[in-house]
Amino acid sequence: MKISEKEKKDSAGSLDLEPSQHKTIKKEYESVTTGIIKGLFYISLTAVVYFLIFSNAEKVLALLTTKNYAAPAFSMITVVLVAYLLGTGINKLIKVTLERALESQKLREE
Amino acid sequence: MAGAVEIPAAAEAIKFLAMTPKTGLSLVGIGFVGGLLSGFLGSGGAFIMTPAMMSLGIPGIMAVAANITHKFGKAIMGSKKHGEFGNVDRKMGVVMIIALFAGVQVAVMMQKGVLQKLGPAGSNLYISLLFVAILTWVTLFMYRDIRRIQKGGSETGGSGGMAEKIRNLNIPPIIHFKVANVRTSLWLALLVGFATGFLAGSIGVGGFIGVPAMIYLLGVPTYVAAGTELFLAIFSGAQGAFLYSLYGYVDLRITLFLYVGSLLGVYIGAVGTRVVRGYQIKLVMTSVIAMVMLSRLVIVPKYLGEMGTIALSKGASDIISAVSNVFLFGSGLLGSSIILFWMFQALRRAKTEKAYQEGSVSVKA
Repeated sequence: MKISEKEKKDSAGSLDLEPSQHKTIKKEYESVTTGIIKGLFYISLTAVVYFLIFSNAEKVLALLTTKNYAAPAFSMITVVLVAYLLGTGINKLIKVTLERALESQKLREE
Repeated sequence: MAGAVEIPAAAEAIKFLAMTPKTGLSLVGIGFVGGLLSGFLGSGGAFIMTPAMMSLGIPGIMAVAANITHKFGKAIMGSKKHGEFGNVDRKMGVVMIIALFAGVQVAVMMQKGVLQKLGPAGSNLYISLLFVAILTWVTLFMYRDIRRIQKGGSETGGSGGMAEKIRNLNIPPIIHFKVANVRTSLWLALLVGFATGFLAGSIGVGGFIGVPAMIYLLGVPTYVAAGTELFLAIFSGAQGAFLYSLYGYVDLRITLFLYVGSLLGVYIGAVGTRVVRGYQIKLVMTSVIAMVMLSRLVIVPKYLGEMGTIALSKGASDIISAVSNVFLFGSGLLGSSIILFWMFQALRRAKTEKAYQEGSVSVKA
């Protein structure tokens, strides 16, 4: 898709940045409220997955003991899904709280 | 640990645990300590999480299965986070993984041989002695390096001795690892991968060897070694999760409780690597490794007693096991406490600096 000069100027703002760079910076420095809302959104999705697993624990455990390929497929998909949802949620929250609070303390001498 | 998995032939019968709120909370806590150590050091979760779960009444094989299944997802997210900070050298990881799996296979074959010749107690003794020998060497080596840095030596400077001689061998082909900013022999990278795999297959804690080996033999910065180790753990975690699930040993509820604590811990640990110096990561790692080594050293008489080499009463054997557990769990708690303490200190410094800056701005105004 071709980006018009006007769109490019608008998205890059007053800085001389490419739209992709602008997008990265915007993503990196989203506001605290946006970060918290996004984080809580991902965590609530995780809660839904947890609810489904724990409310159907017997069926899940029966599936996991079938000793065929359905068991690893189910457990690995669930693990990746939960790690992604919960991990992204926690990451968003930590990014706008702890990471930002420690921004001035960054050390990297190597 | 970045090692592969061998499912025991005669595994325990499956007995799913009754999940109480207390068990759930305990699993979250265990996950947090393991995650924090993994995020900060790149390894160090497995050695404490498995015995801790077993102390909750979870059968050994299910504790291992839950740990390795949870490691798969944790390593994906942990290495993604380290990747954001530029701590993961994927090229190095891919080179090392091939040799790592070969190392694991050789170790497993040797383990089987020892088990057949000496029996279970002899096998435990072999593992403990290997643990003590290797971890003592790593502890002394890292301690000497930390002392050198504390006395004003460079963080990346030569550690001297055999490691530097090996590093300078430069046998072609030479590969440039861009993220780690290291030029090293392909053979050396493969050797490190093989050694990590061999020790992962022998004593179950490959990361304790992999991270120091990457730092001292390949010259990789401490942060990148930690991040790359987590990247390697994705592959061993995937293999383990697949095999243990196929054999029906995975209780997904345990894994999900572990995640709540461990993902929080792994992110906090990864952020922690940004606010400390490289030698501080080495300091925590050395402390943890030294205590794990002590826990294995203390338990040697128990195995000698089981083999009939020395006479040991049941009471004495129980005391030895308890002391060994104190060192083992103490290592995790000590490591986590140091990391959290440094992060708390960094937060306080940040607040003080912010208040000072705001104060000076208002004075100017």
